[in-house]
Amino acid sequence: MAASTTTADALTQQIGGDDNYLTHERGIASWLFTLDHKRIGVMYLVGVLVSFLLGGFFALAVRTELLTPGHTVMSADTYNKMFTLHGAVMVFLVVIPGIPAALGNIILPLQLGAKDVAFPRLNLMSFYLYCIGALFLIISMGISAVDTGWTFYTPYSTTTQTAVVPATFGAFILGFSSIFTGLNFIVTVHKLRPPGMTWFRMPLFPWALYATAVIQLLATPVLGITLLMLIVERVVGIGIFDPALGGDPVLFQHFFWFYSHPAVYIMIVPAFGVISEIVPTFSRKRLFGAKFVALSSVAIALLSFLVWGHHLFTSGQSVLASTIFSAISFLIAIPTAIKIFNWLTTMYNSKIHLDTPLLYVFVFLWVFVIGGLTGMFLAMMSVDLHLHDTYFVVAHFHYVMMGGAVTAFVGGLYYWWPKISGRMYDEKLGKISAVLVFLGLNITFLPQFLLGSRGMPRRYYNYLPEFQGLHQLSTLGSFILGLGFVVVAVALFKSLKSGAKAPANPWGGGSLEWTCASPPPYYNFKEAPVVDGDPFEYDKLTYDEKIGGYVPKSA
Amino acid sequence: MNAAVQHLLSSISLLAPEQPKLPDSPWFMMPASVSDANVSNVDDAYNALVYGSVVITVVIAAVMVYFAKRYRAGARSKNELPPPGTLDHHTGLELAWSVPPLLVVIVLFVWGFKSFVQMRTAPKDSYEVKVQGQKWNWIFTYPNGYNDNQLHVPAGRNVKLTISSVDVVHSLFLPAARLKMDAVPGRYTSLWFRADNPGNYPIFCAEYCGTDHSNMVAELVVHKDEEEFDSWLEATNKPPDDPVEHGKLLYGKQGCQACHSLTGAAGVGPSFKGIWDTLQEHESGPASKVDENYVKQSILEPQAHIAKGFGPSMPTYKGKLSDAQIDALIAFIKAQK
Ligand code: HEC
Ligand SMILES: [Cu+2]
Ligand SMILES: [Cu+2]
Repeated sequence: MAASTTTADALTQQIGGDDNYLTHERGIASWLFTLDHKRIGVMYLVGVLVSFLLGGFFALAVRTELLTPGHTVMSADTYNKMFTLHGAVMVFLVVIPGIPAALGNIILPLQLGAKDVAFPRLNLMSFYLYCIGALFLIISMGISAVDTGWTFYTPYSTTTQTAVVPATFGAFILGFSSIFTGLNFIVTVHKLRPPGMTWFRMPLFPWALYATAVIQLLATPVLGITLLMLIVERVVGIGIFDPALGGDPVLFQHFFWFYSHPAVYIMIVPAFGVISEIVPTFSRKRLFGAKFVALSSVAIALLSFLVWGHHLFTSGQSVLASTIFSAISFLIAIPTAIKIFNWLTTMYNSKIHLDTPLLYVFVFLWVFVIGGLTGMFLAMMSVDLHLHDTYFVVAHFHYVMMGGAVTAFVGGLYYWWPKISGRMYDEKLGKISAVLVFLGLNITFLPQFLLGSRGMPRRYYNYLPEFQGLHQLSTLGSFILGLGFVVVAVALFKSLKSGAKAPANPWGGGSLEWTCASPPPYYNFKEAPVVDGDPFEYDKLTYDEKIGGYVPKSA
Repeated sequence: MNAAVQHLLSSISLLAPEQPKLPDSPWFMMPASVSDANVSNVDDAYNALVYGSVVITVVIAAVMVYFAKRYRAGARSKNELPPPGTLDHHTGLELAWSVPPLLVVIVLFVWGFKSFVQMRTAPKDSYEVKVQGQKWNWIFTYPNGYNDNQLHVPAGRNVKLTISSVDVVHSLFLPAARLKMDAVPGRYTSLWFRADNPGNYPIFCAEYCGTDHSNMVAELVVHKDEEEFDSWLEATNKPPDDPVEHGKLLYGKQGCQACHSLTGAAGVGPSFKGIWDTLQEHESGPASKVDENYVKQSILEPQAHIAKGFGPSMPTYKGKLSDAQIDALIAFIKAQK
């Protein structure tokens, strides 16, 4: 994307002045009250990574307990709290805000050549709501934690003795944080695109964030209302879901999944965006079928609202309803397949640089294809009667969420790390981490497909002895996976301490974020760039060995 | 080790002799089935999906790895770019890779739909058993009024289960029949199957329901013919003469053992060991002596007095136990010295 900047300008940007968003102001208050999207994004990033550490700890506790049937290291009640906390933390604090709120906040305005998001104050507020929501989750852990599963099904959640109210209230607040981010991004994409950037000249990451934001805005309020009703029922005893009070527990399940299925796409669609950025940049080739890739995100976003009933095939839901939900669920396979084939075809006849971000894309493609195909098993009503609520489902959504969303997040983190931190990371460590994550993911979750097919139900503390071998294999894998993320952390810390200074454009990316210095100056761009092409014009860049990055070809 | 853990271990070991085993399975993915003919719908679809998925995954991975090798660029300083004129979009290709998947998913949908309807429509002549889920056991009630924590059925007969729950949502899961159905409080759901292969199979609870969710396991016993089944059902009409023995049987079959141990270790509820004739403190109200009336009230109206240190999680057995059965349970509790 050729931004019309003078050569002299470009040169100062390449080298980067001392003044950047990290050094522009100093002191803790300059962070806490900042309205700068980049700083807010960095704070989100810290929040997400700390939560990931916490959620990962819960995951390893769960896997350790499952080394043997019955008691291994904790009681059944503790185990039930562990998997609940693992799910709640990972969904609400890590995967949902991960790509949009952390990476998106930093990158989206840069990619649009804008100075900030449309509503910087709202942006800061949504970060604080995130913190307050997280605080409520932590308070609930301090009281007695929750043991309902992250799904909060009634009437269990309205009758259990654990701290359901603070936990659900936390999720309620986190919902608003998510809504505000979505609103902000929609307006930003509509209003702040630079002159010349038509919709189809917009990079793919904003496209994905836009589709995501639509879901956030339309689906999250339903979660809010549902959790509020649950709290009202629990506290005041008004019968909405509890049949003992004249309510209907299946109604809760409908409400819950009306949000939580689209939420799956809040988690995965941004990942599609990241992949669509990395693949062309590291193939030095225009994204194949970019229009189809962009529009398929929108198609997925819309379809995602119409499939929630596939979580209720065994709930006693009518055959007709199940049939409709099954049919629409199958349809989502098509836009998903379109994406995968377009990414693959982009690499055909290209010039591939196999650096860490692209390795993560390879990991992503492998696990996401498996995650997607196993979704077919579950969309098929007859087969789902057997597989529903077993480890097959656990494996399926971890392949999609962990394997898809989290690997894309880590890949994106490596990709934009030089931009965010101004430092390069150690390629060798990056590659080692990708291999460990790949092995860990598959050793953890492939055995779970077998477990589920053989009839192992999920959320089980005790299990039949014949399942033990596969459980132990899975636990082994989870530790390898954990190690992989430790290596990621080491690589990033090391880069902060001793990484080489990053050039403005280390990978030769064609979108606007690569035209400003790394790290970007406080105001991002001196003047609003004018755009006269799409973000894949790699022939307009040339590699400069002195600075270790790409610069615009001098005409 | 704390009391709850001890209780849990004791309840597991108590269940141990009864713990159902998965029979050896001929096919390494799906477990052995109650009826090969009856589950083939699901197993065929499952196998087709497995083979299809493996092929697609391997092909995509192979293409990916091949491209990575074949089109690997040299040093960045060489500024290599794809040859000019390389295609960057092709509507024909887009159609080529969206239409065939569409056809495949339509086939899968119809296949799943057909089997699903059949799996959901119980034949008219089915033998009916009522199932009640409660924390944390299943109670199966046979047409003669007898109830048990195991599901007994004759081979070759269609069986319909009418399922409900007294507390939270549970889900009756029969892996050997590839079926599950939620037990939802406040409504009835149902499920049917036919078992052709005699033997014992596990029944799980598949919807999370609290502390002992994973011990909410029962057994499906498929008798080899109607005759054997009938004589089993016949025998249930004659409980043991000794009330303590009878009480012990009920203690297991009615699921008391999931919450009350006999070892003195507190579980979800107080242990029965040595409680007889002691004074029981309550969460509110005066203490009361554990005697015949108190035990009877505890069984029929468990929420009337809540024993100190415990929660209100015991289900009522009103309408489920006859006076003779309650007497037997009283005798059994009295005998736990
Ligand atoms: C879901 C767990 C659960 C099941 C199943 C259960 N109970 Fe209880 N039971 C409790 C709890 C908790 C208490 C203490 C609170 C209360 O008093 O209601 C209790 C209390 C009692 C008491 C009073 C004991 C005392 O010291 O005060 C008796 C007697 C009793 N149960 C008998 C039975 C019998 C007999 C059965 C089986 C037919 C049974 N329970 C099944 C949970 C259970
Ligand atoms: Cu869903
Ligand atoms: Cu359960």
